[in-house]
Amino acid sequence: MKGVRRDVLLHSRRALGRRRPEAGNPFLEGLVGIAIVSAVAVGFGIVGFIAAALTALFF
Amino acid sequence: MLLIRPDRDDLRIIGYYIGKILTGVGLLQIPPALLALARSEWNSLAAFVFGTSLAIIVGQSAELRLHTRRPLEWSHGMVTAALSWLLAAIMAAVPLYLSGHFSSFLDALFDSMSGLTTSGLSVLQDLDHLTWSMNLYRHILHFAGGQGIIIVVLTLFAASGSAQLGTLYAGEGRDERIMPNIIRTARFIYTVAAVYLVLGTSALAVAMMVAGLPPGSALFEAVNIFMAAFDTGGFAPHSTSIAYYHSASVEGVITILMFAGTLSFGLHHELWRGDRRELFRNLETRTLTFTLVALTALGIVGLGRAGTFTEPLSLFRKGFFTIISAHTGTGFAVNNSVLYATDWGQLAPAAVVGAMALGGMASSTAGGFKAIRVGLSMKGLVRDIRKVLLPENALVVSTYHQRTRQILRDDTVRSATTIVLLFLLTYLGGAMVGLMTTDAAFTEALFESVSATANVGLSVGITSPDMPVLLELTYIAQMWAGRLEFMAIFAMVGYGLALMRGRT
Repeated sequence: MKGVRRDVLLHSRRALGRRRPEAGNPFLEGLVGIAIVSAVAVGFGIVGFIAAALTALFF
Repeated sequence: MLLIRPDRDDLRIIGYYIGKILTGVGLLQIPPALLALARSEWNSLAAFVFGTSLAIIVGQSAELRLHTRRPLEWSHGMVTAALSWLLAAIMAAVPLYLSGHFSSFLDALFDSMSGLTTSGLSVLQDLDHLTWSMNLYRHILHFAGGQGIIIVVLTLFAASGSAQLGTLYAGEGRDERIMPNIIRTARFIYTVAAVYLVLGTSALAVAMMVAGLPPGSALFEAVNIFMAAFDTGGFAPHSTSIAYYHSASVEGVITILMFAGTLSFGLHHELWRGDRRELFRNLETRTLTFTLVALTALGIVGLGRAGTFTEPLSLFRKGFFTIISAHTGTGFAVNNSVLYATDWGQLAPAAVVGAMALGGMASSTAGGFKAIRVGLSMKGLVRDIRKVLLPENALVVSTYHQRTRQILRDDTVRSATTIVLLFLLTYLGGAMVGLMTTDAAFTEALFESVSATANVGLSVGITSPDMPVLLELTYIAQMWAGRLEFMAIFAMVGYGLALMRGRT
C-alpha cells in the first residue's frame, strides 16, 4: 500500500462498495452470527405469540 | 430462430460432467451403507451396495469414455445441471425402490426427487418401520440437494478453483457468488452447514431426550431432523412428522434451524464477517420480515376465526410453526395433513399457500418465488408509479441493498418478474392436473401444487401411494423445475430442439 494515496484507496473501496474486512476471530464471528439468526427467529416467535394471544382474546 | 446443432464434443462434455455427478450419487450411499452394516440391516445394506455400485459404474464409465479437456460453456452447464438433477434422482431412487417400501419405481423416484429438491413430499409406505439406514439416506438426499448436489460433487473432485463451475452453480438455481471463486464459495457453505450441524444436532438431541427419547434414538433423529430442517427439506423419521415429539422445545430448535436455512448464504457470510447491519439493510431480509409477519398474523387470525384452536399456546404452536415451515420451504407438519382442508377454515390455509408460494431467500435451500424477486418486483412497481407521477423528463433512479447498494435496473426487474410469472403458471398448471385427475377441491389442488413447485412438502393428503400416475409425474416435474428455477430446463429443451432441427 506504500505510495498509494489514502483518498484514492478510500474512493476505490467505496466504488467497489466493499467495507474493510473485520479483523475479529472468524470462529467467534460465526457464533455471534448464529446467535443473531437465533435471536431474530425468537423475535419472530414473540410476534407470533402476540398475534396468537390477541387472536385468542378477540375471536 | 437460429439454432446451432451441438456436435459430438458438446455432448461429450455434458456426459463427462454427468458421469461425475452420478459417481457422487453413488458415494452418497456409503454412509447409510455403513450404518446398515453396523446395525445388521442386511436388506438395506444389499440395496445400498447395489445402488452404489450401479451409480459408480455408470458414472465412471461415462467419465472414462467421455473424458475431455474442453472447457465447459454456459449452455453445457445449464444442460448438465438440468439433466444431472433428473438422472441423479433416478439413480438415487434405486436403493429406495429396493427397500420394499415403494409399490413402484416411480414412487421411489418421486421420493428421491422430493429428497434432492428438498421438497419433503413422500409416497413411502409404512415410514414408521423403515430401517435407520434407509431413513438416514432419505435425509442425506435433503442435505446433498440442499447444499447443491452438483457443487457438492464437483468441488470434492476438483483440485483447485475452476471458473467453469460457475455455470453449473447458476444452472442449479444459485446465482450469488459469495467468494471470488465457486470452490471457495462452496467451502464457505460447507463451513456454515458444519457449524450449524454440530450446534443444531446437539440442541435437538437434548430437546428430544428431554421429550423422552432414549439417547441413541435422540441423536439419530436429531441428525436426520437437522438435515431436513437446515436444508428446508421436510422429511422426518416418523409418519406424524414433528407432531411425533409433542415437544415445544423440539419445535423451537427446529424453528431456528428452518429460519437459518432460509437465509441466503450471502447473508450468512456477511453475518459471519461481522457485518450485522446487512441483516437490516438487505432487501431480502426486509421483504421476508414483512411477508413472514403479515402471513403469520393472517394464519393465526384465520385459525382463530375457524375456531380450530382457542388457546393462545395452541394457536401459536400450530399456526406459527406451520407458517414458518411453509415460508421457509421446509414442510414439517405439526398436525394431520387432512386437517388443513377440513378444520383450518379458509383464511389460514390461504396464508399457508401464500407463504409456500413466496418461499425464502435466493441462494438458500428454500424454494418458491424467493424474497429477492418479490422485493425487486415491488421496487420496480413503485419506481414505475413514481415515473408516472413525476414530470416526464424527471430521472427516477431506485436503489436497493443486497450486500452492496445497487441500482434497480430494468433487466433485473424483468428477469425477476419473469421467474415469478413462471412459478405462478406452474402453480396453476399443477393445480389443473390435480383437478383433472382427482376429486380434490381447487384450494386443495392448489395447495399441493404450490407445495411441490416451491419445494415445501406440506400436504393436504393428495400426495399418497395411490395417487394417479399423471399427477405423480406432474409433481416430479414441478419439484425438478422449481428447484432449478426453470432456466436450466428451458436450456435443456432448447438444446434438444437444436439437436433435432439445428444447423450444423
